[in-house]
Amino acid sequence: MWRSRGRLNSNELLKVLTFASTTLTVTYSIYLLIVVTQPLYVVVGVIEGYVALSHYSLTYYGRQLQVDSLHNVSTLTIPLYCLSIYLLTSGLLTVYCSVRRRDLTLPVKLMFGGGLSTATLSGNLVGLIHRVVLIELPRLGVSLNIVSSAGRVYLGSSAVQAIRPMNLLTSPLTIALLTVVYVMVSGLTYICRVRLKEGL
Amino acid sequence: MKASIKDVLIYLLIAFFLLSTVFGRVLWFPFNISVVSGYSMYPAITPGDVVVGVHKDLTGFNVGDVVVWCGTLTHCIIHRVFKIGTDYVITKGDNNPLPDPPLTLALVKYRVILRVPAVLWIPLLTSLLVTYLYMKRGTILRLLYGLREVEVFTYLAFLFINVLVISLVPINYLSVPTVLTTPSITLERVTLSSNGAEAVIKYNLRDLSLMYVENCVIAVEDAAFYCGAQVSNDSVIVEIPRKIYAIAISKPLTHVHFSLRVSLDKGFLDGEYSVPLSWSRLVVEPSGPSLLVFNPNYGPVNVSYIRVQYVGLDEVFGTPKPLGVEVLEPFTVDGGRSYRLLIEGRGTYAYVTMRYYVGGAFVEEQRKVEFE
Repeated sequence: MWRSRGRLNSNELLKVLTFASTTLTVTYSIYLLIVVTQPLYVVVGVIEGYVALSHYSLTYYGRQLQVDSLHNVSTLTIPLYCLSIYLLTSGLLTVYCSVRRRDLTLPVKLMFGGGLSTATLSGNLVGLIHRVVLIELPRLGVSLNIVSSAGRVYLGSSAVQAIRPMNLLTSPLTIALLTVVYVMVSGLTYICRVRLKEGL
Repeated sequence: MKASIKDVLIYLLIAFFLLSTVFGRVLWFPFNISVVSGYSMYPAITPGDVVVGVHKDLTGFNVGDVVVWCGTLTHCIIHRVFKIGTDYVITKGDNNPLPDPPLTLALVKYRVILRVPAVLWIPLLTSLLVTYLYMKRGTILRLLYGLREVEVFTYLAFLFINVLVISLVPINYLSVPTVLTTPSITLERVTLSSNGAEAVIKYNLRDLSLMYVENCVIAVEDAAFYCGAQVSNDSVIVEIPRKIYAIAISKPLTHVHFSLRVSLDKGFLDGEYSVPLSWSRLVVEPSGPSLLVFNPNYGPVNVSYIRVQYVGLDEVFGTPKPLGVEVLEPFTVDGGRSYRLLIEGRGTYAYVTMRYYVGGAFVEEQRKVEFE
């Protein structure tokens, strides 16, 4: 194996790619889990509570509120949950196989499979966030101050507040960037380790 | 021959399934099978239940029936018929606080005749599916072996899960907004008590309760007076000070205006109300050698001029003979009270003339008082 100063040989490049792919797999899995489970927005006022993709808790004058659309959204996060668990498992499997110095072909294939699935399911994620943020959440910001024959009635209002870090994590740019990087790295790792090796 | 009959049956089953679940929403088909989502018909129909409907042309429908109406291919609603008009129908979910907007009769497709609970059909379908998959295990294993590239298998598996979940969860094209029942308070009436001491403001309340009155002010001309007020169930009782009427009667005012802030269990109300005032003449009745003067108004009336013309009878001719005139002291009659004006007995009778100011005009009354 030749080595030139400042350049990596093919084995080291493969190691770097595998390391990057593993890190990104685990990171993306945790990212997905956080985005799906953590509250994205809180509602304060006459409607109180929080909204996450996978669940929500809202009360209206102390009574539990049932929002069918948010209920459907939470069901649609099931594939994302499955993907997150799969990615975490495949990432940890890669770490285990690396530590034990075992063949990494299968873990790399698993991570690449996860990458392909991520490319598809990231569309789900964007769609669900779009549904929640642009359609459902504005409906929760209400003003119940009215004028009736009895006079001016002040019953309060509710406001939707974004949770700052989640706002950043769920922006389409963040999702697109993370997905593209992960898919590319896992794909590159797959090609280098599996396809090129098979071709040699 | 046996295989082709089986194939035909399978194709017919698939066609029936597609027509009864999907295409039957826009095409005419005698049956419909729908999976329920949402809690609008809870507890009669719960999410996950399967309902079987028959086309409305075959059975018709009445108020109280559960029907399926479809706005689009992807969006159907299963609600109970609330009202049927000439060319419209109104439906309402049992668990919804308000009925749906009126629909044309053409949008109503099916009448629900059967409900299969989720706890029944899901295990049944699952066991049938598992049995079928077991019977076809050889074919499946051969198919999976063809997918021995694990990355392809992973991708296809996630694709399958995604499609399965999406197909089970209805994604409404026209999202039905959650209905929030807004508490409301409207004015029913404002009335004045018979003695004018209190004004009663009665409200129509929905999902609200009156707690207490924070502030009450009565405005009369340029002056403002604080008033006492208390809550009684769905009404507020405002105490009107007497001095208000003394001012009002002298102007005269046709209305008394008051404003108050009422604390509610969920907020507060700022209301401004007015009560009409009407002014009446004094009721003057002779009573023996006196006049009984009753003031039916809320405020005091001052009789500012009283003139008594005494009359006697001529001893010779028996004709009326004036005996003299006396001007008496003015007096005031409080609202709702009476005053007895005694006339000194001189002569046979007397004419009493009274003048007072009420309702924006001077009024002159004359009565005859008999002494014998």
